[in-house]
Amino acid sequence: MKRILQMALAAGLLGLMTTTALAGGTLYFGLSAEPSTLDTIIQPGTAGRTVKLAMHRGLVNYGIDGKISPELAESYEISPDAKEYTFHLRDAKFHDGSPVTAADVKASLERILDPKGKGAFRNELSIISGIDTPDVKTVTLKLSQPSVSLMGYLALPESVIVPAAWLAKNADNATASPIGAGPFQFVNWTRGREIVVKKFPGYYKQGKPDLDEVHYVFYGDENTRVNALKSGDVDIIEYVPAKDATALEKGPDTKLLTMNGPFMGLQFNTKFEPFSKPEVRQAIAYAVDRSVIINTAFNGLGTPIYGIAIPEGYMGYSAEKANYFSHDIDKAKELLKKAGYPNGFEARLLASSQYSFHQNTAIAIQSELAKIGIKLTLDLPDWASRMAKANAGDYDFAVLGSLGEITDADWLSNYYYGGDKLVRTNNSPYFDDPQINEILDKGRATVDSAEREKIYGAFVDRALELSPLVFFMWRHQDYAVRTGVTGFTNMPGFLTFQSGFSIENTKIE
Amino acid sequence: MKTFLPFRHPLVLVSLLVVTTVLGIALVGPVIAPHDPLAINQNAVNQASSTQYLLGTDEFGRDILSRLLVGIRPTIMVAVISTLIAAVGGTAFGIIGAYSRPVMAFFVMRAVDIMLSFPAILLALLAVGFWRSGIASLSVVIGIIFIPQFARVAQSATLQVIRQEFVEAEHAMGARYLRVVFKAILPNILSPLVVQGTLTIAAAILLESGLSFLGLGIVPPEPSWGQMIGTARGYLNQNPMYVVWPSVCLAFTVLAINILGDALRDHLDPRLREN
Repeated sequence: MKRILQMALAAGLLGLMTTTALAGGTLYFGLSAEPSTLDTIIQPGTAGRTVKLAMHRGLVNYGIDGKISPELAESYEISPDAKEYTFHLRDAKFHDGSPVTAADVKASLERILDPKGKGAFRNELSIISGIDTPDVKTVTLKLSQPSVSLMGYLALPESVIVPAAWLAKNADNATASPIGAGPFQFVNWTRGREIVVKKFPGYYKQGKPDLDEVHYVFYGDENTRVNALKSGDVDIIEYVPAKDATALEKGPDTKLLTMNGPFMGLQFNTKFEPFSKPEVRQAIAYAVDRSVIINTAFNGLGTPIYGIAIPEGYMGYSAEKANYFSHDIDKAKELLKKAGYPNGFEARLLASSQYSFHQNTAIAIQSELAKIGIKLTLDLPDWASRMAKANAGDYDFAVLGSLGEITDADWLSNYYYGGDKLVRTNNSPYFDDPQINEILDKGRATVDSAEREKIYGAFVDRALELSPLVFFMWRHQDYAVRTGVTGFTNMPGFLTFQSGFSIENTKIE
Repeated sequence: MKTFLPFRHPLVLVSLLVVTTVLGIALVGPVIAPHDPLAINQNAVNQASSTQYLLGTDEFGRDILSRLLVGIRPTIMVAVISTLIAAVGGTAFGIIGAYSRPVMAFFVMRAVDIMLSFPAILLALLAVGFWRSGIASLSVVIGIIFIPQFARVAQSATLQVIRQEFVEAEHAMGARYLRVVFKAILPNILSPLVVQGTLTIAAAILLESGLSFLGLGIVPPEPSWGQMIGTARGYLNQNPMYVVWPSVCLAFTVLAINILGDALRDHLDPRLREN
């Protein structure tokens, strides 16, 4: 009897040991680029965000279901006039063991709001006029005007909370080891190769994360990235090129996580004379055959857009306005003539050779616009130079491949609002229409959703009339994983760029 | 009377044919191309060979044959111009390095050594990264990169020549520096330089193709062979022959030029010349 008991115990112990050995493990994540920085308040692109979301959490974040998920804040209340937001913090710890307090939240948000700072979403968050900390676990945000969209901006990877003490010491030190309250803690960054993070045992979600270590490996070349997944060098890759999607979907060792999220379009430098005229921008919207872009640059995968890139189901979408434009070369020529360019003109189109779909979209647009007499020179630098040029407004027009940062209708402000910063990554440089500004201000401040719906209807009318941005198609944003990797989620719609959040649920066999 | 060199070696004859064909296509390629090399056909993407598209189509439905025929011109232009730049510059440096005051010669040849110590592709990447890429900038960059090789050849040849009597005779007659260089030295170091020239053309074609492969050479949508190989690499699954055609063309062209260069060297070197 005693013998049997011993054996059972031994077997049980053995079983326990093997399960512990099986759980966890190391995951290799193939990124499409090396992040330029890990500074939390800068928008570094999807690759950088993926790493940030492993190490950091905000008061709230977008969860895998696409809804706002309370993270460092356990709960929150919004006053009925949408002018006061109160957050109650949970008992969470930073990677250095210190507790997350109201002072840390205040310091982190103040750094974003600093007018001299580099906060990517300072414009959007600057309606915060006061940050009160009645006690260690409570933060109250007072707004200068009502805003329904604030929660969305607080959920972005650029609004995460870092320790006040760390900020005091390291805010200006770009090479300091980052500290956050996320599921993984920073280990090291081998420049040109990888960023390694390891499990943070003090994470506030019980039993998460499952992985012991994640290596974010940089693969700037998309073919190398796909081959690394096929050969098993990495377990997940982002930015699956359209031409490889079908093969990776078939497997048998790989699985495709696909999402219709980002749009492809054009942003126009309205200081470049022909593009200052709405007729010219509309002419381009009429001239480009969407299916040429989809069939050549995206291997036939994608959905055309003939209006404004508001997804069905999002506020402002209208089936009636969805087909405002059509493929009509005669109409395009007529508009060009009306604008005073009957024989077309010459222009530079900025794209990037680092992502083949950007380059190929540019080539397709070049051939389409040649048909109405617009001769294009392509400017195809690497991605970092392309971003630098976009941020400096150094182009005539540029291929835009992006999406709304938040799911609230106020995402449109980033693209259409004028304001005091007229050259941004995603807007049409120097475009500033008082009427559009007014509509967007009103939309942000209106709590009643039927009323809001009307306001954004008016926005769509005006935006189509002026067409400062022209949209062509929805593209797929795909991740591919090796079989055996579970729990990684390609987050819905606009949130696909924040899918890095789901690394806390990811398991590997 | 000896027979003309190529007819004694079938390999050399074939190489000569290949090189002549390539040069001919570089001249008339756009005229004989069956399709517009830039014409996009969204309904014929990544197709295999057919009667309409003899070598198939690329990811934009453009005719690969036409792109091959047109794509050789920028490559040949870059190769020829850069070789000329390298030949003129390198020969000047080489002669100065061998036939001038020792201090001057020392600095010139050390400068050449420093340039030689960098890998060519790395220098090219750096230079092209700073300037807009295009035929002119590529030619200059590649030309400068190949200057040191020419300078070395020219220097060693000049060193041999300047000890000979006819140079001494020029000196004795009171000839000025430039006259010695152009009348006595240059004509007598020409044959190794011609051989170096053929080798440089082949190397320049490869370097230009390498840069285009990496996306730093000829700007799309204009075709070039290297760039086609670089793009085709991503479509191995959909259209395997897409990568084969430009690769084969590039390989045979470079091989043919190298064989010609070797034959020329054998022919011009009296020690290797057969009776």
